Amino acid sequence: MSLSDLLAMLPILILAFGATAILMAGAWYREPLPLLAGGIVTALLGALSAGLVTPPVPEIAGLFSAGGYARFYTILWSLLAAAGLMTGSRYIIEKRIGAGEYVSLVLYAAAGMALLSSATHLVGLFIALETFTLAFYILIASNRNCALAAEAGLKYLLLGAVATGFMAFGIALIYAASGSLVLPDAVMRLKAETGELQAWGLLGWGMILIAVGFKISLAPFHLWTPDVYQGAPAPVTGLLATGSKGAVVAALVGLLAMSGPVWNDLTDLVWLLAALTMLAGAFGALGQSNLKRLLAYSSVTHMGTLLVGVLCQTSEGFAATTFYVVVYVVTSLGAFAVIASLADGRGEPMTFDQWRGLGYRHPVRCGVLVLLLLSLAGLPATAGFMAKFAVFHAALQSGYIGLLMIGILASVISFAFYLRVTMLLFQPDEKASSWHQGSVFEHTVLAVCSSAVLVLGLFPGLLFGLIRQILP
Amino acid sequence: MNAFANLPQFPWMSLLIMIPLCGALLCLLHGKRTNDCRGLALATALATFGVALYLFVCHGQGSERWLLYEDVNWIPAYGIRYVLAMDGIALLMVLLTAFMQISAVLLAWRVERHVGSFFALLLLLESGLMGIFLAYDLVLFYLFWEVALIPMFFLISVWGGEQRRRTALKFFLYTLIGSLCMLVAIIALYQINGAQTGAYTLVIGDLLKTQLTAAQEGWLFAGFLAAFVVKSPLVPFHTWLTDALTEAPAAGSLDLTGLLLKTGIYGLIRVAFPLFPNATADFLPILGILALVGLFHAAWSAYHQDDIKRLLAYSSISHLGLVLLGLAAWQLTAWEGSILLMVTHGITTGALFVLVALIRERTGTRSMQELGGLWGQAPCLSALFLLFSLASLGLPGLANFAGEILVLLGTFQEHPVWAVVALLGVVFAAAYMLRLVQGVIWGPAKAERTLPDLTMREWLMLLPMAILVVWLGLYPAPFLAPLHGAVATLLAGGLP
Amino acid sequence: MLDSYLPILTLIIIAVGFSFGAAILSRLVGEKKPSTVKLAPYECGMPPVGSARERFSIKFYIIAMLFIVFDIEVVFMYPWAVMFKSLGLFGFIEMGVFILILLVGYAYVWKKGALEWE
Repeated sequence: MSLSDLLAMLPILILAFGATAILMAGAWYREPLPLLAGGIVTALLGALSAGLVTPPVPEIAGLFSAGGYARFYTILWSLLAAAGLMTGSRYIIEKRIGAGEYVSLVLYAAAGMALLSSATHLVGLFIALETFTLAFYILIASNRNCALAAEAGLKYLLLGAVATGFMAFGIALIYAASGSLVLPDAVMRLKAETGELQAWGLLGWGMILIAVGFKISLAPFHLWTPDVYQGAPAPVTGLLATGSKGAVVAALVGLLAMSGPVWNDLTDLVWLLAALTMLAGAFGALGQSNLKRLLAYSSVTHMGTLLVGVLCQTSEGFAATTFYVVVYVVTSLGAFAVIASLADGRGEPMTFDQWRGLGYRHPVRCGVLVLLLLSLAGLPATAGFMAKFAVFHAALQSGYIGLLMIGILASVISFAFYLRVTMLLFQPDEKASSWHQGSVFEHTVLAVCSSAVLVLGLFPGLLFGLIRQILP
Repeated sequence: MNAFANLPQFPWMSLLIMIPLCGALLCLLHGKRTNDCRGLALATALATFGVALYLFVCHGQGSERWLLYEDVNWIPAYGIRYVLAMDGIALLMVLLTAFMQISAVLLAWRVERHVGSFFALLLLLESGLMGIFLAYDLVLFYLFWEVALIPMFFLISVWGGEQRRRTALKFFLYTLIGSLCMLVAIIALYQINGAQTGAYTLVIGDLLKTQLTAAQEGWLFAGFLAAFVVKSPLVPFHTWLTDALTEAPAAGSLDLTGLLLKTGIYGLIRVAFPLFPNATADFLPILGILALVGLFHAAWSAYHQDDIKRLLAYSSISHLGLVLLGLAAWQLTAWEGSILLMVTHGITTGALFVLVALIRERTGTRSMQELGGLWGQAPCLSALFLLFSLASLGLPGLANFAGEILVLLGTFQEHPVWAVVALLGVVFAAAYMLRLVQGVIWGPAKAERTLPDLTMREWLMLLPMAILVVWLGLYPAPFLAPLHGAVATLLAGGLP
Repeated sequence: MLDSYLPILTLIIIAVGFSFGAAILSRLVGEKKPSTVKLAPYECGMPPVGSARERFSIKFYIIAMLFIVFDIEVVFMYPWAVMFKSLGLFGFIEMGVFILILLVGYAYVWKKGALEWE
């Protein structure tokens, strides 16, 4: 570990040291606002340093990459942490949750996600994954007075532990078969192997896929998602739905992009996973009467679509997936931020009864929610459309016509449930009650998310250009 | 390919799309002040119409393939361009849209709930329609196709009748399934063309050269057809329309029948037929027969309706059956007639929907059992009702006649049997329209009512339509002139 | 390559075989004279009192967690101490950083009051 390594790690160090400093400060000073502000500044500094400081080395200690791809995601997750702190600000003040702990955990999570997205070594991958998962175990259950939150925390903990087990076993098997833990290397050697060792390697890949399946809730490993999303406070759910999933997908894309098409033996399995996930999410969401659960199932569908992009294993597919991740993060975060901004003493508006007619009480934020939902559905002129277009285009290019059809079917179904919410919002209902008017922080996040959705929908060329440059 | 492509030129067509869009945004921002919104919406509609009229007068008579052409690189990563192109057909549809929108805004004057949002959606719809008629890049086309869908969905689901939510969802899902099929076809075509030429593009003009096998062409054509046929609507796929037309608020029904239905047919003419000439040739006989079935089925259903709005919905389907028949004949006169009939049908049926809305406002009912004897109570309204009904059934000298006769003449030259059968269908139209007139205007009044006659605003709405109906009936030549070149090009480039 | 795992496999088989073998053997050969005392649940030689589902104060858990955290961390110092000479200055600095992190955690725990019983 030399000085240039440390310089290359600067954004992560800023996040981690900032988090520790805020944690310590929080033990002495209980005033939440300065701590929050410190956290937001730290996150923005992390993003800024990742954007401005050119790393002197391409790789940090053989564990993490410091290339453009890694920096891109470091910026994204740092900004996500800032947004998560902004949407969570009112929540932690009102629920009297330790500000120091909350802020530092969010920052640790961001650091973990950034590391995961840049992992080039299986051990690095594992460490990074555990870093942010541990932070989330605590964040989900941070509201200790709420039984649902405790349930959510426990569910996530148990399944997270199972996933960790699978991950470790998978890594061990791949190491046993290939004799290497360095990523492109291990995978390439595995490909060259034949016979028994290749079988061990494939089993290892399968285990890792299961762990990934738990983390990004692919069907049939998605059953925890609605419960956890419902129980966790909306600002945390926003992070969980976007960052924890996006980082895993980013790691997968980074790994496959480095090592070429290594999934040839797994294609059928991944095909099946993707198809199942898209359909399970879409059909699962149809019957929901709770917005958070609906968004959970919607995220399942989106993960299926993302997997289609990953499955293509072409640069086209990876670019499309990366674009999709960014769009999904922005949109989904915005949707949960709307819920968070409406929360007041009664909790968050969740059931459809609570949302009915809310469009007339809070026209601006419900308008934003409609925009975000339509983007999630993939309506043209929003970012969601361009993302879907890119992924489907890549799928067709690689010849996955069947998956494309299933994706379209899932899109039709998802239009139905997103529209149901939209109609609900603007259904005349005199009983609709007013909720919180939201803080400046929350409105800022919403403004950023909704304008990003429009800008990325109308002018996606900029981001596509960038992504094509940075893909490893 | 085009002399206009490189010339810097005033973006008139973008203006047609942007004016309503800006109007919509302003309406949304001023949602609280009802009167401002109304004025703003009317001014927007008038301004758009002004631009459209200017284009019609100054650029309508050109002889080039494109009267106007705008081309900007939009998403270079995927070769998606912002291309707008206007030929005679597009010009006519744009003019119709701008014209009808004025009536729609005036008709929406009385809306009381959430006025700002209502006008915003109405103007957004106009923007989307303009885009559909002008876009010449498939992704842009698809974008506007969906943009026009959303406002309609909200207009029905928020301001509609009692069944509004079910209807809105039905409307949306029907059209959405169609349009997603189109999206798949678009991406596939894009892929095939890109693989052949190495340059990925979505501009329709460049995609024309794609080499397709018969199977590919068939599937892709089917994808596009799914979107257009549902919107048109061809008969087995029409059930959403009657509900949507009945449940939509008045201004929404006006736009739906007058304009949104035309987008399906327009899509066939502009996108599906030119791109897939061989598949089209195979499909035309089916189209002709389905159109005839639609013509009769809808006329028969119309005859048995009691709700006058529903009756008009079926009459719309019947008329559009005739339009599709004209297209299926694949003949110059018939095509010109079809396109003219689209325009005139938009105006006459649109006007009838306006009148139905006015009658409903005054009497509180749309059932023919409770209506009748309106002539004695509101003579001016009844007179106009009579005029538009007669125009709708194709009385010579009024608007629809010109279109219908051209369709029948053209079809007769290619498929005499179709034409003869269609003629019977037109007679059927007379039957249900006369029944409508009889049930609403003549006969004894079913209830003692004092009905106010037309107000100033309503005259403003209907009088231009009435004048146009007479004009189009007597002297349609100025509207046919810009069509000639465009239709001839399409027909020549189309069938092998 | 997998051959090198053979001794481990042998060990596992012997271990499992021994434990099961002993249990089964005593069951087959041994004499059985059950009485109430013998059948009662075994609790460190004491007669069982009350229900086993008793609630403990949360303070025990905190102490237990802290013990595990700091105890495990100290374990890392043994191998370091063994290798101290060959690691040299670098090893010393690394261990310094490690202990510093521990100290920060310790300060946090202390300040938060986790070490106070009352």
